[in-house]
Amino acid sequence: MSALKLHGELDAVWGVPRGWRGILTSVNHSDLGIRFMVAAGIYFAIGGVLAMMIRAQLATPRSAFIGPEIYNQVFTMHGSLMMFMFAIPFFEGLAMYLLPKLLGSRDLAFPRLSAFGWWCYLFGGFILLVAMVLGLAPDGGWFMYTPLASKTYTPGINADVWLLGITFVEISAVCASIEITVSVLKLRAPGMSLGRMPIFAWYILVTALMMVVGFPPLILASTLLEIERAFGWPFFDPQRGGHPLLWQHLFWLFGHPEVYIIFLPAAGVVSTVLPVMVRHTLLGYGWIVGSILVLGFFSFGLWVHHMFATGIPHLALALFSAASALVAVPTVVQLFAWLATMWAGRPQMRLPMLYIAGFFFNFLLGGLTGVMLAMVPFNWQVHDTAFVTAHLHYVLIGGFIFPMLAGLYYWLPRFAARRSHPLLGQLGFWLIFVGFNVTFLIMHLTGLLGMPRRVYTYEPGLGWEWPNLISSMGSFFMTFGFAVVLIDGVLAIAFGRRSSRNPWRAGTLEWALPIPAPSYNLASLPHVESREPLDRRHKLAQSLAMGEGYLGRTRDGLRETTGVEVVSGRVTEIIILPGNSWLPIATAAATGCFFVALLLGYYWLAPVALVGIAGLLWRWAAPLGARADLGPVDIGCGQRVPPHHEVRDAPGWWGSVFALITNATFFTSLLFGYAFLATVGPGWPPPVMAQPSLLAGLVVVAAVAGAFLAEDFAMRRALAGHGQRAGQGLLLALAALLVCLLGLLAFGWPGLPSPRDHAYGAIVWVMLIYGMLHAFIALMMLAFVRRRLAVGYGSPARMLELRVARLWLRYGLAVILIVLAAIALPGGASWRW
Amino acid sequence: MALVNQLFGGLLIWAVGFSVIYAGHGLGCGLGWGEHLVLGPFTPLNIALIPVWLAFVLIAVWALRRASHAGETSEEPAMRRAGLVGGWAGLVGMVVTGAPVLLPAHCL
Repeated sequence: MSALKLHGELDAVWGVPRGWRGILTSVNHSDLGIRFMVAAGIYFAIGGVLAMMIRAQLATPRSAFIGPEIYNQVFTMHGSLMMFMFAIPFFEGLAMYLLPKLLGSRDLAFPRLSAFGWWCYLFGGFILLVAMVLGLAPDGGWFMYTPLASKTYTPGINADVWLLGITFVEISAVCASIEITVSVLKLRAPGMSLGRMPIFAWYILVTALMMVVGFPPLILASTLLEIERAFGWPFFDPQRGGHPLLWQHLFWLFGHPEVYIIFLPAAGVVSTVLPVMVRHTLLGYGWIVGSILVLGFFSFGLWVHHMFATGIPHLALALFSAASALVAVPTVVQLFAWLATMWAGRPQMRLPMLYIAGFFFNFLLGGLTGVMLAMVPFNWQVHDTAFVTAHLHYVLIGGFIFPMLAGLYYWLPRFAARRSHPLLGQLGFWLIFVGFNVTFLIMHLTGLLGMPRRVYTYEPGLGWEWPNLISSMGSFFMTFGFAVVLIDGVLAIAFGRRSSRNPWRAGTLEWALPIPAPSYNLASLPHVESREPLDRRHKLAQSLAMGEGYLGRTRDGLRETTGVEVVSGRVTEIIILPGNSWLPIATAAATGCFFVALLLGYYWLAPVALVGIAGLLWRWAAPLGARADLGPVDIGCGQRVPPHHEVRDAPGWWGSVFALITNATFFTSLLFGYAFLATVGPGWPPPVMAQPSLLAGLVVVAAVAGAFLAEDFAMRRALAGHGQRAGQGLLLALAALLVCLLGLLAFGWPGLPSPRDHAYGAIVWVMLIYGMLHAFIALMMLAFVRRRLAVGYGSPARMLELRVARLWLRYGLAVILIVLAAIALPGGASWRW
Repeated sequence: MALVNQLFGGLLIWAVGFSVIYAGHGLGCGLGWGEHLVLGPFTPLNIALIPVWLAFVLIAVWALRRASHAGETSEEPAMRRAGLVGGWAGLVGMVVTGAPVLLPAHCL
């Protein structure tokens, strides 16, 4: 078959309809990745305008440019937009766009999930922007500390906009983290073992894993604070057994890893671009992979260094000070690997390399002030001053923006098939670099002179006038620089020279694709034998375009790509991906209705939206799977493998595993909150303890055991090919779950104290509701699987759906038992029949 | 699974050890174990946490040895090196971040 004919056939399967229909239904990773990056860029511009307003206000003492109310909204929205609407979505977009191309795959593992995440991000962002236009934007700072953000001190809707809007956007981040993790683990080209993965994929994999466990504490904190604000359940109110520091713990459990979540993808760009710019293979690949893993772990042991000034015990100060200093080591290991690579190569100061040089300078300064802040006595001196503002901007702009601009210029030929103008690009770089340092270097001094963060004005004569004026002037230089970069990008896309397929002569697979990238990425998939496949096989791109690799044909109009064994990269299955769909936007719209209903106080509407979401998710799962066994199929290159629904560890199974890890982190954070309040909360032990029903507790335990055994029976019968008996087993499990749900309700009501009177009552009710929710989820999943078995979607070979349902069922049952124990066992709880 | 053990073993031990020490300090301070000296400069909280810390250091040493031996049979040198970095980081992390249990005045 000719390359042109193959292209036509593949494009008919993988293409996106033209016009609005295509925009609304596309699940293509390139489309969605670019949308994420463009939207994040727009939010960056809005956040930048807000930053200019801050600097204009602070340029002179007693400025009347904006008043304190607007100023509070401006700095809160600046921080929130930059962290949640720009930095994370931008690298998610870059990862979504690049990963399948780098890994030699045709798309990500769950294309509809990517699209759902995109629409959640878009709709959530609208909530924030509309609130800002209406003057109702959040105004309590981007970390929304209680009690400032509690109902007493923020009675309006402003804090609710943040809590609900950001949580809505976080759904997108969690979806992306699961999507990316499973894609990197499973959807690689055959032969690409973990040790042959491009280094960028390692960085993104660890980042995604950090997001899997990093976001749930913040989602929990936002949920608890919104419940407190809406219904008066006092999790953070010290007068009723709550504690404001619980918010800080949960927020920074997310917030500190967040810094590394933002930094690691940028470091991944450096590790990818730098070797190409110095014409030498990256040195210390194994050291770097190890360092990334270490950073991923250590970054979760630092959160308390944001709370050094809150009066916590000295031992906690010492533990977290030591950990905060230690985390510099794996960062420096990467730095030395980059320096060694530069030393061994021949650096060429082209535009991406210029930005990397800027990154080295700025990030090093940010890292050094980070180590200074890790030291408790120094931290106390500069806590909440402009010194901290300067430090975090050196880390985030130096450690994220500069590498990302290097990446944008490096991959511009890949995105747009064009090259930029070198002089305009260099002008932009120098304006940003000089402007940035003029703005923030002197801000360290402003902080050391004692200027606090977030003050809307200051008095003359404190020595803060000149440093502030210089910072403000520098910030405008920097803004001009970003404007030049934008103009350069637009001019390049509109009028730039056409690029060749591999203009940098790089070795990674994304440069093997035609320019612009077709909807299916590669006409056939390569067998990978090294980390830089294009270095060794110069004719690889042409060979793949001719269909000489794996899956170099279409079959029954299905979207197919290869799935591999996680460690070795041995091909194990054909993964069949779903096509364009209305479901992602419809589900995101229903989710949006849920959040807007809560925001506007239409609580009756929220359950209706939830029913809509449940219905759509049922519909979502319906077209997956098959009604007959297919067995191994020829995929080219002499290999035959089965489709993914006939193997044990298909992407859907892995996706459920990581979704459950996210879920378990949420639950563990809740248990941490319970333990924290019980240990240090004022007014504990509570005046009224739970009086759970012993009978209901025993019924729940029996029902849990019954559901477990019945599902196990169903699985064994299904594996033996007895579908009807399996269905009966599932029916028994469903009945047990129903009993479990009712038992939990009887266990809690009327035995648990009111959730409004004391934080104890509030938190045990939240745990009980969480347990009931998981009983309901398991019930829905088993009902779905039973229905599917009845109509032929299951055989001893096709057990994927039952395996996935088993994961959720067993997690739910474990949660229920833990909730029972957590409520019933602590001292003071007295039983009743 | 062997590779996962090799890559993450030491770091998981650090994560568990650090969490246990942090939780132990919270519980101990809550129960008033850090208020009185009972053995030289040590409070009951010191006496409770120091053996826990040493135990985790020993477990981290064991994990590092395992990572070293597992690496000898690894087909990919880069993954072997990454596993060793993780093992050493787990051990050094446990020693450094746990060492504050030796200091007095825990609960001030």
